[in-house]
Amino acid sequence: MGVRTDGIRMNGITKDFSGKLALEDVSIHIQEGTIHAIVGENGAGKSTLMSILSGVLQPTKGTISIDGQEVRFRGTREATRLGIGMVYQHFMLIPILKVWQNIILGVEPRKKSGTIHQAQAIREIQAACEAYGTTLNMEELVGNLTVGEQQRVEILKVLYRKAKYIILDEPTAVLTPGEIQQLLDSMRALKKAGKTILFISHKLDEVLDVSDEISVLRQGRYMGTVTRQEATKERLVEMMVGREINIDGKPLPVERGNPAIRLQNLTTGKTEFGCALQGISVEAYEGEVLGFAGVDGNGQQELVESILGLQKVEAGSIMVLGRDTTHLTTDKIRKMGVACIPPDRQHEGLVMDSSITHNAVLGNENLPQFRWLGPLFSVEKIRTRVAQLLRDFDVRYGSTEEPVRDLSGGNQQKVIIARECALTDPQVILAVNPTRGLDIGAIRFVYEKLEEYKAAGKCIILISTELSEIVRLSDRIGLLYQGLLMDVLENRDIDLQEIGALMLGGVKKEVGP
Amino acid sequence: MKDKKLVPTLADKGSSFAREIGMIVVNIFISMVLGSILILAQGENPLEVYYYLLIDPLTSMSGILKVLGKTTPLIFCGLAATVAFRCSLFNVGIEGQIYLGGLAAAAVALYVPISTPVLKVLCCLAAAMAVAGAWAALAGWLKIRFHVHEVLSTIMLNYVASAMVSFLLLNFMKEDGINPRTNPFPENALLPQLAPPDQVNVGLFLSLLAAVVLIFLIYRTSLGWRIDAVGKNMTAARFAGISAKKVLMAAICISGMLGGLAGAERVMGAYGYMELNFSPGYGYDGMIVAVIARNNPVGAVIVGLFMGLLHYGGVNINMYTDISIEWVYVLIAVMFILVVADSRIINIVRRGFGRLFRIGKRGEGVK
Amino acid sequence: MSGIIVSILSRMLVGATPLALAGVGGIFGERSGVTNIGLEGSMLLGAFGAAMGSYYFGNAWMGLICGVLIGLLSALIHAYLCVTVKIDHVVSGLAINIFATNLTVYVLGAVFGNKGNSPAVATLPKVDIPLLCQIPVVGQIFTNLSVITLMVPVVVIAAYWLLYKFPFGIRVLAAGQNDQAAETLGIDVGRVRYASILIGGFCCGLAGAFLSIGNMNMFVRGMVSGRGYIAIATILFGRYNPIGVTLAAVFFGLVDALQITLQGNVAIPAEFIQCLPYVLTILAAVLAEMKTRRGRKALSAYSL
Repeated sequence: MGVRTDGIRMNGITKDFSGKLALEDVSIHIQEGTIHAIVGENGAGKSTLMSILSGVLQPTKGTISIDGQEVRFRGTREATRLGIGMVYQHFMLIPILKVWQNIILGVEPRKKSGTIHQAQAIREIQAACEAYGTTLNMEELVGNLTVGEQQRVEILKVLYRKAKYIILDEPTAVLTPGEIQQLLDSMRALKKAGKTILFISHKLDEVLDVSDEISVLRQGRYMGTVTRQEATKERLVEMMVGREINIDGKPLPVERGNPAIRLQNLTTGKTEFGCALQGISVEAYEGEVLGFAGVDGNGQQELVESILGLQKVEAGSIMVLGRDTTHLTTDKIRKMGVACIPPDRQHEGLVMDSSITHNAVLGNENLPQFRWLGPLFSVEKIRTRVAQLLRDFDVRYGSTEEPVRDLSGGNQQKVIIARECALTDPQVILAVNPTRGLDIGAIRFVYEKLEEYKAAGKCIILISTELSEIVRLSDRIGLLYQGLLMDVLENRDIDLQEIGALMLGGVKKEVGP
Repeated sequence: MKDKKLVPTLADKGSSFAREIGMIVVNIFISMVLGSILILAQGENPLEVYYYLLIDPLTSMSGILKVLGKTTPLIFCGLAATVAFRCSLFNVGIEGQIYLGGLAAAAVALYVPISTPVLKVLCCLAAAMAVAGAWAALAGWLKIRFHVHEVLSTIMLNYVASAMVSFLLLNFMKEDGINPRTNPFPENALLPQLAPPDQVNVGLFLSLLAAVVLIFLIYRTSLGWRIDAVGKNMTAARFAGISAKKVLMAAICISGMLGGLAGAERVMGAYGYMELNFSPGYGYDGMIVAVIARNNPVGAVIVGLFMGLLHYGGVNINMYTDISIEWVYVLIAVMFILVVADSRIINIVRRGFGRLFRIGKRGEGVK
Repeated sequence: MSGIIVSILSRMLVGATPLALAGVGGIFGERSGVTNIGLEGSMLLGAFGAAMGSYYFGNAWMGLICGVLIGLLSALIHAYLCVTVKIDHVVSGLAINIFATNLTVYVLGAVFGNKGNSPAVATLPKVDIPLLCQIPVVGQIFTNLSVITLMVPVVVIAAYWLLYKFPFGIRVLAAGQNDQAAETLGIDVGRVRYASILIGGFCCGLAGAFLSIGNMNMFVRGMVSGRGYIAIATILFGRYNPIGVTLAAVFFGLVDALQITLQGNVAIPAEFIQCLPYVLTILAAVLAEMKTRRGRKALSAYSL
């Protein structure tokens, strides 16, 4: 047997984001020349760890050593110099430039006159292509490439800079099954060429297909490393999630009513960074919580925005509470009784520089309960009601007129929920990541409220990246993958096997015995 | 935990409100110091110049009246720019809206036979608001429909408006003689002057009334709150069901209407007739007022008054020293830049000095 | 008849020169991600600097150098405000315009006691292009051209080369499209933007110098009269491509020439024709938007 070279050692890496521990004492050894996967649920800390390794972030504690030498990166340039190349989940490409230009950007080979030596650049890129086993049209504009091809450009960028260690951050999240196979083959080819691959994913099938070793992170902690021989899906899921699912409670059984939302063949158009919905058909009922599990970027945003009237529907229809709302404006849809807790609190839910009062009644300034003189409202009435809402939702604040920016994240989220669910009386609630940033007590509070609303006969569509949340609250769970609705499961005594299935995404439902 | 209060007191906003005002005052002061450099270059005494600029006009009643005479259009335009800025719109077209408003008012004054003074005046003002508002709406439409940035469209429309006004006035409304102006307006279409021959007239009160209405609109109506929301975060506003298009249109129309009123006040109150190119750049001054007042309508009135003082002070300086009025405009431009940059330039300078002193103290040698 | 056509075409070159220079220079700043509506002010300052330089040194070439330096200085201020202090780009541009408008008149008054114009100063030479100027009839167009007009093709080709053939150029394009990506690749976006804006300042200085000492022999108050904004339109119309922008500048130059020649000769009122460049600018912006919407494919850096 040959001598094992050292590769990358991460020792005791801890990352503290002002009180929140994203990583706690993580030590992983990545052997040179292997494909090493790092898996974990959303929020487990995978991306943070990779950001540290690629030089974007600094660890609060801990060291990194490469080939036996301790190193400290002060930025991405140094990491690149030491042979680390990162392929980000969200591509860092320039659409209006050609493939070869994107690849050499920042390290352009020059002629004596100072101009770019195009011939030399292309020659060097071709060499990298061969080692990698791929071909691309160098002259094509990156903006015209498919997502799979764009990813190949990103990998070529890294190879062109002579990276020895290549980090792939959730590379398959945006690929078609065919492209995924191509990527896995490429990874094998690169390994043969002597590269070391760090493969970040939560898709266990792919990980088991191609990796030599698999390390598991759970909630910022390192759970262990298994070799491919030792690993099984069940073992991995257990390490990622733990034997108990850490959910206290099950969804409240409530009598289901009429369909409140009916989507038929809902199709939206392709946008630059989004995911087009492709013929989604599903119904959601009064008195139920329909949850959608999955990684962001598979159509969740488009689903919410099209129901809310913010995104143009290309084909199909949306029916809300009996009315066709496919082409109605947001204003009218909301008046029908649709509320929404948006995914991005700061950009979609609140006007950060405005007061709590303004935010708490955003869009609802003209409610009858505030009327004073004709079309004018009484600021006093509004402030009183807002104070009441803040009390009911146990929000900590100084004054109703302070900017909402001054509140903690959790309290900001509560303002949004109070506005959407308690200010008016909605019949349909679209809740996206409703407990993001909340502490345990607040999370329980929100769960109680949602169950309350469900019991009152409201229809709730829940979209969350927190698997435990989906399983805790949903009566039925839908799986979105690349804009397609893969499956809708009934949430009855769900077990680890099914959770694994939920987390894999993109896998066709196996017809069981 | 602090007590929960329903009504905001000044103490609540304590730190931030006082800080904002303090910052503005400091920046104005710094710009005055910079302005002194030019004065010294011309061989004049800065203290003397600043006396004639800021203090002398206020020492006599006639001076104060002259200042007020300059203030009215600045308040109107300041308010116009304020409401647009609050919605994140750059209405650089106020200048054109002033001329169109003035022309519309002139047309009604000269050609529409109404005898009751109050009614006639109101019709003139209404015409000014309608035409100017529509012109602003055109820019708004271009933005909403075609994403044409309003800075480009309003500036271009200014030139077009200027040409249109010139054409209409010279060909249809000109008085006999060589001056490019209309006949004097009939008595019942005039805004009474308060202390002739100074130009301050009833229009001043109109501008204050407009300020009150705008303040009410901004702070106590749903449109005002929505203009704020759309200006600060259009995405969140749309998610909440607010129609950004409607709000943008409303904001730019109101802005245009206020610009139109500025023009109407000049022709109906200050001059009594309409002349080509009567505005020495009120539209741009309005933007400066709004920016210095941090988009606050109450501030717009105060800064408008201050600006009026500076404008008249500029004329005053020229009577006693060799400094031309353009120097005041340069001073104002510098104030504008400093206030916009808020504390940033000051911080950068402070940090730079700090580094200098630190090196000096440690004596470790440069770098 | 041919006399009128020749006259129009000659005027067209005169009108197009400052637009092409300011437009092509402005491409870099816009492409790097910094809006600059202060081209108007930079041109005005450049024109003023050139006239003053020519006055003080008694030499038009020194004037040209002064004009360019002042143009660079105004661009430096804009770059500082936008990139370092990070204020709103539009506000910065507006501030420069207001500043330029008033500072020039102030100094005119302070130095010459005349706020309308400067005294006559030495001008840049005008030349005839050999051979071309000897072509019968059409040859007239190639006579009496300012040296700055002759510089335009050089500037345009240099700009094209710089943008598409040099590393700096693709970094400018990258910075404007996705500055985050550029940063991860180790590109100093701030420096790229400073350089881009300064290129614009250089060209505006040239354009301004043309106006005061190339085409005329003095500085007149407000002599840029909107050309800086029309330059922005040429950038939009020309799809941010040096060749396209130059063609757009020629087009606007033609419109301007028609406007001057037809005034008084045709039944259409003078004011209508005066409006033309400005109305066309708005149309240019609308058309640019329509084209962007219709294009489903990615917009190439090279597209016209």
